Amino acid sequence: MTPSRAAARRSRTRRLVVPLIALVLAIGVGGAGALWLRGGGAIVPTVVGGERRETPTLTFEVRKVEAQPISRTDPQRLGGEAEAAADRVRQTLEALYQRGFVDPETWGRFDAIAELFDPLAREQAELDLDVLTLGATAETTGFVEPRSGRLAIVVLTDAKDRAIQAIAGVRFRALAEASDGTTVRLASSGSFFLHRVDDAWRIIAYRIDRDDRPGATTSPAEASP
Amino acid sequence: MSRASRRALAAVLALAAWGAGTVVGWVVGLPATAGAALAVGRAHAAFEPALDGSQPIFVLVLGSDARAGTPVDRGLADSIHILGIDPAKGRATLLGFPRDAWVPLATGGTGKINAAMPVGGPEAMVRTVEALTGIRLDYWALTGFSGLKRAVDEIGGLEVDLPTTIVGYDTTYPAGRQRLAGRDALQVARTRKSLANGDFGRSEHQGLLMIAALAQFRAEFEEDPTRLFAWLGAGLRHVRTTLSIEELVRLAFTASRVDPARVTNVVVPGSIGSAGGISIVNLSPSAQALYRDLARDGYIAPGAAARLGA
Repeated sequence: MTPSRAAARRSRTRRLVVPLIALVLAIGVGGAGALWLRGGGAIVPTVVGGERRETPTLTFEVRKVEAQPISRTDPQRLGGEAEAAADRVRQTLEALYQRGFVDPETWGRFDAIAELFDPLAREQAELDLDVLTLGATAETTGFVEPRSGRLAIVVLTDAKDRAIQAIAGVRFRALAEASDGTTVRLASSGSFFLHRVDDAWRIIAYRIDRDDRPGATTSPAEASP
Repeated sequence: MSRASRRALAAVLALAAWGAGTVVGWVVGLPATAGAALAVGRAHAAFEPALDGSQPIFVLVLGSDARAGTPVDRGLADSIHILGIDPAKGRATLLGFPRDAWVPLATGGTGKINAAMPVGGPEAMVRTVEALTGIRLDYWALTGFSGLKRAVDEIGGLEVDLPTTIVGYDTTYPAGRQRLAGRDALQVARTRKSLANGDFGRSEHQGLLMIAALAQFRAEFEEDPTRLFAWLGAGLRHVRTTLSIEELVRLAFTASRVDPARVTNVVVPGSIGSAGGISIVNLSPSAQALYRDLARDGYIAPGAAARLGA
C-alpha cells in the first residue's frame, strides 16, 4: 500500500469513528437523563419526583426509663445508671431504624445492621430482615420520612447496681414513598431485649410486629419534600 | 459529500440518537417505577433464645425452713422438687420429695432427706438427690419463708386455682380460683397437718404454686415483655441460685414456651414408717422407674406417674 492510500484509509476511519462515538454517547446520556427525570427509585433511591432529597435523621423519643434492680437498692436511687444505659440503648435502636428504614444507602441490607445484634441473634435476624428493616420493600421505595419514634425502656441492674440488660418497647411510624407517588404508612412496634457488651448494647432477642398500610397516592411531582 | 454536509449529518444523527436514547431510557425505566406499588400488610418476627433444647434441663428447687438468725442455706430443706424441662417439646415435670423421705445423705449416713442442707448447704442437697435419683442436676434455686412471701408480693400476688379447700394456720382458702398475697402463698405452701395425705399433699401444693407462677408469668410476659424483669428482679432479690442472669433470661424464654397444662406435678410415692422412734417416709421401689422416666427427657406423662403410684 502506498503512503497516500494509507492516509486516505486513516481519514475515512476517523470520519466513521467520530460520529459513532458521538452516537453511543448520545444514547447513553439520553437514556440516563430519562431515567433521572423519571426518578427511578431502585436506581437512584433518594430521587423522588425528579427531586433529590436529603436523608432524614431519625430520633427516638424516650418516654419512660425504669430501673429494675436485683439488689435490694431502691430503684429510685438507680435513676442515673438507668438513664445512662437507656441513652445507649436508644442509640443502638436509632442506628437500627435509621440504617434499616430511613437511609437509602443501607436500608434492607443486613450487613449494615449486623453489628447491632449479639452473635447469637444474627442468624435469625438476617432471616427476619423483611420485618426488622424496610426489607424487600426497599426495592421499590424512593424515600422514607420518619413520622414518630418512641421508646419505653426498663433496665435490669446487677448485684452491684450496674446496668446489664434492658428491654425496650418500641413504636416507629414512617411514610415510605415510591417514585410513582405511591405511599405506605410503615408501622413497626414490639420489644427488643438488649444486653451490655463492654460499653455497647447489643440486641439479644426481639419480638416485633409490622403493620404497613397503604397511604394516600400522590403524583411524583406532588411527593412531599 | 462536502465536509460541512458530513458535519451536519453527524449533528442530526447525534440529536436523533439522543432522542432515541431518551425514549429507550424512559421505557427501560418504566418497569422499575410504574409497577412500584409498595408492599403492605402485617408481619411478625420473634427471636427469644431458649436454653439448649437438645437435652433436658434439671433444676433442684429448694425451700428452707430457716428461722430468723439462721442463714437460709442452713435451714432444713422442707420443700424439695426437681424441675425437669423438656425444651424441645415445651413440657415439664415437677417431681416433689416428701421432706421426711429416709435416704442416704451426701453428708454421711442415712437420714431424712431435708437434713442434708443444714450440714452441707444446697450443694449437699444436690449430691443427695443426684445419688438417690441418678439424675444430674444442672442448677439449684433456694428460697426461705420471707423470700417466698416477698417475691410473691413483688410480682403482685399469685393467681391460683386450688383443687380443694386448704385450712391454713389462720386462714381457710376455699377451692377455686383466687389471688394469693405473699403470706397466703406461704401458708398454702406450708400447710400439712390439715391435709389428709400430709407431707405428700403439701409437696403437691408446692408444685401447684410453681405451676401457677409459670402460668402467670407466661400471661404477663405475652402481654408485656418488660414484665420479665419484674419477675427476674423479684426472683433474684429473694431466691439464691446457681443460674446466671443470662441463663435465667434464657430459662425465662424457655418457660414462656412451656404450656402449664403440659407440666406434670407428681410426688415421689412412699409410705409412712418410723426409724429410731421418729416418723419417716419410706420411698416406694416404683420411684426408681419415675426417676428413669424423668431422666430420659425431663418429662413424666401423667398416665405414667399414675401407673407408678405417684
